[in-house]
Amino acid sequence: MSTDITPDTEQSSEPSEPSKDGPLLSVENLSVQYQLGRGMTGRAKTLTAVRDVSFSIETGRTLGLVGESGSGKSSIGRAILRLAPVSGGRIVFDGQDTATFGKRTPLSFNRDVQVVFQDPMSSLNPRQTIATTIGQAITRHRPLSGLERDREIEQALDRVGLSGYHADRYPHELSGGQRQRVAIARALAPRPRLIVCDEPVSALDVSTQSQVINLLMELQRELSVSYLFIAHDLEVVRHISDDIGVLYLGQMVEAGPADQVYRTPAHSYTQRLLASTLVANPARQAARTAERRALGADA
Amino acid sequence: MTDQPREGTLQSTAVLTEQTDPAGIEPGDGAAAEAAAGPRAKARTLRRMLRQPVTLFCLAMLLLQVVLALGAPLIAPYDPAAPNVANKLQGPSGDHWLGTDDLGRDTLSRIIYGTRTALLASTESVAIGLVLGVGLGLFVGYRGGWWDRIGMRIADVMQSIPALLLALALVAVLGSGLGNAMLAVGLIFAVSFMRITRAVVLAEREKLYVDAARVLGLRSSGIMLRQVLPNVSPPLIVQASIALGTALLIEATLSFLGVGIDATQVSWGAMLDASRQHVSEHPLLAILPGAAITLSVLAFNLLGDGLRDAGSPRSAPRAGSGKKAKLPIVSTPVPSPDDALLRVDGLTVTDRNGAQLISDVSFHIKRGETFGVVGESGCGKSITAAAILGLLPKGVTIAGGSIRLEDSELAGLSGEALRQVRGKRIGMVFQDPGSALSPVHTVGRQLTDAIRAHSGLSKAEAHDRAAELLTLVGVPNPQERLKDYPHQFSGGMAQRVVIAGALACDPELLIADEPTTALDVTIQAQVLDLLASLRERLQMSLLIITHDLGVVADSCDRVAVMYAGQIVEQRSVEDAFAEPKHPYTEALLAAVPHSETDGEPLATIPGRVPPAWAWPQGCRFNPRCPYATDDCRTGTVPADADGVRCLRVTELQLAGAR
Amino acid sequence: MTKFVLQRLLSALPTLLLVSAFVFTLVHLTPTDPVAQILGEGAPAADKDALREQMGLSRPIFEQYIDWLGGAVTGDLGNSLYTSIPVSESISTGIGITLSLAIAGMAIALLAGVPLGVLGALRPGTTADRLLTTVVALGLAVPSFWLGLLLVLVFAVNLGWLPVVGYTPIGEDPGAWATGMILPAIALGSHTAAVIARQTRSAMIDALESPYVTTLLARGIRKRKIVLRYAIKNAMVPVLAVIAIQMSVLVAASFVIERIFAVPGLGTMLIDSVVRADYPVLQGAIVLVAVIVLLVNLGADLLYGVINPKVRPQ
Repeated sequence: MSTDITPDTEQSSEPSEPSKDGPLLSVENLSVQYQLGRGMTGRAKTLTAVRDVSFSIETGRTLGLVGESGSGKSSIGRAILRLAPVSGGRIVFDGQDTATFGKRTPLSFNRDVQVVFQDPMSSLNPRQTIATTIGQAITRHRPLSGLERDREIEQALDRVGLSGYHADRYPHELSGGQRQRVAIARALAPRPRLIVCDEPVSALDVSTQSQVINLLMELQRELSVSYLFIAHDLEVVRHISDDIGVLYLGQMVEAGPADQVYRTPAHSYTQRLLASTLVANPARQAARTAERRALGADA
Repeated sequence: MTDQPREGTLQSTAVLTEQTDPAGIEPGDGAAAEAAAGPRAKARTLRRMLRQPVTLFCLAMLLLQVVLALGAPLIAPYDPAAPNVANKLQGPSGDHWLGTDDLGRDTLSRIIYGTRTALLASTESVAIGLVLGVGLGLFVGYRGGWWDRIGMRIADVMQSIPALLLALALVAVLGSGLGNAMLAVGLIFAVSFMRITRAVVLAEREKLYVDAARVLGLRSSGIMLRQVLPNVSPPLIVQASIALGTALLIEATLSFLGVGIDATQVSWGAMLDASRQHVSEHPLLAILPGAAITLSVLAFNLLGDGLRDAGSPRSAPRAGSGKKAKLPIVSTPVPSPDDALLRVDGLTVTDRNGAQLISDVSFHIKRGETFGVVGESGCGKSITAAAILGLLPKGVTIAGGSIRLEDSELAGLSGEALRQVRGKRIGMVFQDPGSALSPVHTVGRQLTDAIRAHSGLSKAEAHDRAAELLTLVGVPNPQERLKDYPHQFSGGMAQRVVIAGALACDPELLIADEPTTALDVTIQAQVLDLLASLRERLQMSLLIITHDLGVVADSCDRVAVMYAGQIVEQRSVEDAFAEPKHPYTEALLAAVPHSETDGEPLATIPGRVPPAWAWPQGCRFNPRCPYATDDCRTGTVPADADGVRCLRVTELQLAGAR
Repeated sequence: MTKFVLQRLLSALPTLLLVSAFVFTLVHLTPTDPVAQILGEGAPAADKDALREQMGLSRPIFEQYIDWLGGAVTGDLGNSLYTSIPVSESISTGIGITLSLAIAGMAIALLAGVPLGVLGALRPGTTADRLLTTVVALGLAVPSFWLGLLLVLVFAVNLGWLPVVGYTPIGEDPGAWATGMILPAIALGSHTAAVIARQTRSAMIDALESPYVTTLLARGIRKRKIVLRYAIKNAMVPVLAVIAIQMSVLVAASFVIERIFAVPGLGTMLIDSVVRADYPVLQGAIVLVAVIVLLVNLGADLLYGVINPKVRPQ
């Protein structure tokens, strides 16, 4: 097990030296708070979405975060992407504390850390062709001539299983699965080292879902990119992840190697979640149903 | 004025214009509706516009106005300002087609010159409004924080004074004259455009593609100008068109009141004002300029409507519609046992273009049985459910087949007879509990109405029954919760309320269309358990529509697998999952990740479900099927005794769920 | 509830303050010199200065504003520069007339607009619906003052059914007051009726297409009940916002109508004061209108809470 996860860690967060030996990403005692609507009187309300969560991801590995709505799993991803405020703890990427960036995120960080969102329709600009969307992702990080750029766009599309003729299409002209492939191509364009995948297959049909999962795993083998894979489906997360963290109400209640968490869940919430996760096998599902009814009777 | 935005705030921003249409500036809908318009879609929008006769008329009117305004000196037969007292108050004649006014000036010429004033005034004010408003709106929308608060406070101040009044006050300050008046109107427009722009920017800023652009490190200014701004333009174009009409009205009003134009200009409003003394003897003097104003404003307004309609996907003709040769309606009777509660036989449903959404669907549900219909989206599962209760969308009709509930035929039923089935014999539960309940009525009201729809219970009795139902579905504190509104319930609890409503009149069959898709994993399991226990306690039959094979494995006795509008396999769940007979069932089972698929690639189904107007020839699954042969590509594939539609059913050995 | 109203009133105060400051500044920027207007352009400079001093116009504008504000709070808005009648007095007679006209116009607009919109939504695309849409489009385009002229021409001049122009105070003769209000109210309300009909139609169509209507149908609830009890209430949520906007539009539009029908309302007074640069009247009237608009919005907010439980104060 090369990924080290320390749930509810008590370890002091001593400043880590920039080093190539440590984990690619290490999240230490992260908390995320949102300011809720402020009245005229100015009394701000806060919502704590994530409380004291720690984990790390090694190069080329996948950490799955699983949880239900309100578990804070998406907030963790957004905090790493610097789209959500960090109210406590540290996020260290490649040895560098992201808090030191200040307001401006360095371009190198944008290049290294990319994202694939759940809903590919809203994550692609409806008024830009696929080529424009991917093109600007490439040229922002690597100034290229028009010809070179076009070639790279074609390569990027090819890598995610789309053809060159998709380049001139608009998002609404593609199917959900194709759109998600475009989103993956855009995320890969700057040649990142970590991709935050926020429920990347939840909006897709079964057959398309498996296509996208396979693509993500293939790309990881090819490019050694790391994933933070956020989802609500324990079966999907287990399939793609090396390690799993289970989130409940903003806290990480259990973490460990994927198989261990899946086969011998320790925390009662993980047990309940697993018992509630449906499997497409009547015999095994019958066992799970019995188990979850037993758990439900206890609760 | 209000800090806490109410839902209608966007609408209420439109104070300035008597005709700003709130529906048009709603950012969510408007923007989403327009979202489909890239350059290629733009061309499509244009073509669609040109097909609207009304819009064409408006464009012609606009062109006429421009020609009249620019060419006034050439076109007008007389100098509009030259008095000729000898000729005053003439009726229409060969010399003066539309007669003359109280100073003997030619009415036709004055109308023509009035076009100039009107057009100039409206374009000037709208241009001022657009430049100022869009700029400010982009700025405060994107910067947010204090800038936004200050901007909106100023907008509140400006808009708490009615537009006309503000124009009057500004004219008083700036001095009368068309330019000043229109500057005033332009400033008022700016406030409105600022609000629209800001609203769209705020809505777009929340979109994930902006987040993605930020993650890519694109510059803020670039995101603003290249990503967000293009999405602002469609609602703005519509509003600007309508604002042109409003500006024209305000110009006419100000001129009518004598504060707009100066004496050297000709304005329709001033012509109207001047006509008032002579209106009883010379009504034409009042009618003509008024008609000119009305027609012009009408043209601008309808143009705005046309632009909106052309840009909205609702009016978009479906691609491929009407091209497809109609499929024959086939009905293969399938034997069903005598104790079946519901018998669907050879059901075919078509849309208004004749495309078959579902074809020859046959299945039955026994008393006390849970029957599942499973398949990917676009395969016709929900249409099947809707057809049973006569809830098909507009234009979609049952083209053949029968739906029998015990001895009564449901296909073709309407009016009171259909109502007697809905809720009373068949209850229905929907996917999204959030939208399946009226947001502005209490849960109690909605439950008692459902109860009283089929029973003679008094209000008090119905209320007690409603509380009973909530207890039945496991909602705590039923008496209290009956007074609550849907938004006060969590998703799982709301779905329990929807189920309670479906059970209000003890139906024999409960149809649940994706009942747990919108719910969290643990809540989903609870709702499935609830449905199972209800079925047992109330001795109902249950029809579950789902895309999730896990739901079928958990809850169903028998299952029908649907693909491309047809049932391709229909057997007991154990058999179908253990030894599937149709390649599509096999493929679906293999595509789901499970404990045995560790690290290895999942099985996939190439391609995707085709749309209803493009069902393939032969076996509809053949383009995606690894076992397809040439025979599979022609002819129709009948269903066998297990409802399996596969020519190779006897030769294939397919893998089941692992 | 009381707390909510108070909170809303409080939050409207800063806006009101800004409005008054804005109007005050605006009005005092007017190039027209009231002193010159009263005494005539050719009056001796010394006389002008004396009058200016006497009227308090030579002091800094900020001081003048504070003075005015202090008076305004106690209901003293100063005196007209011309008639010397207290502004509050002349405004209060005018505003009553204008408001009654605006309310009558709104009543007509609601009575015509809501049912028409509902009917159109029930049968979208039919001939009746298309006819309605056409009438609505015309209603939106016709200038109210022209409609007023035409109404007078037809019903008063040609048919002689109703008085041509003029206003009878309600205290003198309620019957004459009512007949005198009919044409102005129609001229005023027709545009708003069109706006409301259009909004109602589209909101009703949305409501009738929503999933909860499908749910209600699936429960076997009668179509009539679904329309009357469920769809209309849901549709009124967006329509209410439009009604609030239209109320302030009506107040302004009534100024023009007053002129055509020679109704001595606020508008007549206001236009006179614009022409004569009668500051106290002008600013008093505008601020008063702003107060009315803010109150109407507050009322709409409260009603909104009644209709829409989501925004109801907890």
